[in-house]
Amino acid sequence: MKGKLLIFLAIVLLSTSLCAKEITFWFAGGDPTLDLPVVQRQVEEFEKETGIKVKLVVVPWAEDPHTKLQVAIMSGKAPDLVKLGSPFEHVLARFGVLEPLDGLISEELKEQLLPSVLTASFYRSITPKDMTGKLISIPYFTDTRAILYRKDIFQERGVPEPIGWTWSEFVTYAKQLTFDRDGDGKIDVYGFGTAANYTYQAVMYAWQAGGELMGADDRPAFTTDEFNEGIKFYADLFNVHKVVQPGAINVDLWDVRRQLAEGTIAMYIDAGDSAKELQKILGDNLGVGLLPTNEKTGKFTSYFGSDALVIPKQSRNKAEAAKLLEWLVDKDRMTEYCIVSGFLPARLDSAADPHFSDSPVVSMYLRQLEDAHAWIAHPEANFIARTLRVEIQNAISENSDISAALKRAQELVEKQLKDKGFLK
Amino acid sequence: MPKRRLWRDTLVAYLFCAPAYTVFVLFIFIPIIWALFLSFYDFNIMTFLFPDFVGLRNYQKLLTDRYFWLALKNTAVFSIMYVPISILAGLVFALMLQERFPGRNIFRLSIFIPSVISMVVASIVWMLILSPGSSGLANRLLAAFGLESKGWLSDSRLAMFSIVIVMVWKDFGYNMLIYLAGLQNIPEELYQAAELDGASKLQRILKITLPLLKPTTFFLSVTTIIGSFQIFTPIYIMTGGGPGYATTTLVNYLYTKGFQEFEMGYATAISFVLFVILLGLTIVQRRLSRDADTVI
Repeated sequence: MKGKLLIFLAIVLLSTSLCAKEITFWFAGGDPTLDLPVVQRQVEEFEKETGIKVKLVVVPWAEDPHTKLQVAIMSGKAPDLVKLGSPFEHVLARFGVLEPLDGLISEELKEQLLPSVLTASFYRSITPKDMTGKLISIPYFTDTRAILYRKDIFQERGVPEPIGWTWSEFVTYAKQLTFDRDGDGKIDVYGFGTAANYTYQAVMYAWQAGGELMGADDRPAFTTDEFNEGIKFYADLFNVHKVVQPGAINVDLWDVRRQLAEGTIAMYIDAGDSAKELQKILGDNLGVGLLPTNEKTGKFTSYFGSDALVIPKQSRNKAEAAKLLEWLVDKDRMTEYCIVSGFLPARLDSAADPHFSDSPVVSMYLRQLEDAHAWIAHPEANFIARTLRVEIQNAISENSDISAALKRAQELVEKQLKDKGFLK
Repeated sequence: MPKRRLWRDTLVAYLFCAPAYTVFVLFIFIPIIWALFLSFYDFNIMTFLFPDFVGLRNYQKLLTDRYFWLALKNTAVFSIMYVPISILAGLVFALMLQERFPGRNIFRLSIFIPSVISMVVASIVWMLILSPGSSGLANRLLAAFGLESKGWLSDSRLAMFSIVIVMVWKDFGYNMLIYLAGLQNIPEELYQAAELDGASKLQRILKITLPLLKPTTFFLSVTTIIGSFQIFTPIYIMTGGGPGYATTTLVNYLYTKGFQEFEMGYATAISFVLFVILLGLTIVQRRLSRDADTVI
């Protein structure tokens, strides 16, 4: 009898161990002192709940996780679930290495995701045909850009808080905030800080003016009047109104953040994690406002980015990977992650959490998110952004014709898209 | 010598050379040939195993790619500024620090130290020094003398010059060390004889030192030019190739094309063009310095 019992137990143990699947989850980025412990704990809870083992592999941004992922896919060792920086999933989808998520993810989850953010998760390009229109990623969090400003400098210059400003008010106030404090003939504070080597810093005004980066036919739309108007408005801040800090043409955004902390600029546009960092230094002296509104269109559009979860086609555990995905973007877990990391939740129900809605800083970001635009969801996004950035930077730097620069960018991007088979 | 022994000696000689040749063939020769082969294909990391043969299309594309020509021009401009300055600075400091005076070794050490510092660390430190506005040390120094601050890394007319300053600071200590070694090979008797003949210090440098340092100068000019055409790290960290395309060099451009825009075949074609340019420059230098038959 004892012998039979032992055999039975051995069979049970063996079958259990054989059934316990292990999936690999690659997490790009993350801060070991901030959000990674939360992710680690959430994954451990998932293991306990489901019995599925998870091998969590954290790849810091400094180690170029996107290139590592490509190498893993090429060598047939792709992880089962990946958190990456959007819009890189569109590059992967272009080579057919991502599993469409349409059938793997519940309708309930899709309904809860912010529609504007979810739109960027659909593959739109015509190559490869079998991927067009498919859902290729699920946003893990989102983040938009709002105006960060110093309340003390605004008070000193008698400027109201930046909410509902029009473009012309923005220029007027930026001029008012550009001043020589000690009377030595040199400007001590610049009204507006920016970094022209971040393409979105210019493109946001093009969106506000009613322009689009890519047209409905998937061609670049840099030469439209609206796009020109927006980029010209940005360029004029440098060369006509002279409200922008020296060096803004090519500077890291963290340097601009430092300048706001030091008080050499009065305001700039940045994401929520920067607001969180600045709050540690400036406390209540940090204000958050909305981007200026174009008088004609009524738009105050900002840019939003996100990190997304994808399942590679090579995964042998797609159902388990989808389970983990849904686990991580569950309402409570997304809320917890975003509270810790400083990013914005990509779910409607998470965004309604009092932590976000009651916070003056986060609630302003959520207001800005109501009029925010995703980045180029295209496999050639890097080429498009680089070409546009270079031409805009050159035009500002040389104070030359913006429309000629945009026309050149349009031609170069169109040629590239044709060469790559994205345009007929 | 009997034929059999000659064979044996030859075999032994080849065996001694074998490790070095194996490394050369495996890690230099084969990759160069492989790169040439790959430059006729369109591929990226994910399609590496199934590349599309495109013939000469990558090279045709180079001819009409304005950013490639800009990168080539920038690389040449950097090289033209950096090579003579870093070699000349190395020579001048070697001549000065060859003389005996108290603290000479400390001077030598302090000049050589930058060349052993990580390029990444040096770039970050210089980024802080050259920060825009009044936050950078360089601009604070200018302000102390009543001068206007400069956009060292943000002004397209100044950015490449700033990179040259950083690279000269980083590398001229190494050049100085090589020149110091070269100076020690010059027999003291030549200087004594020239002194007896009434030659001035300048004449001794021009007529003895510089001609006898020709092999060293040749060695340094070849290695410095090759290094200058391969510049990548300080530009990647300090300017990102900007503003616009003001500091984008060939290696930065091929990195962008290969790893950020996923055009590995095109990037390989750029790297092969770079290889041909460097090979051509080395052959020209070799011809010009035929009499430089001894290289330290």
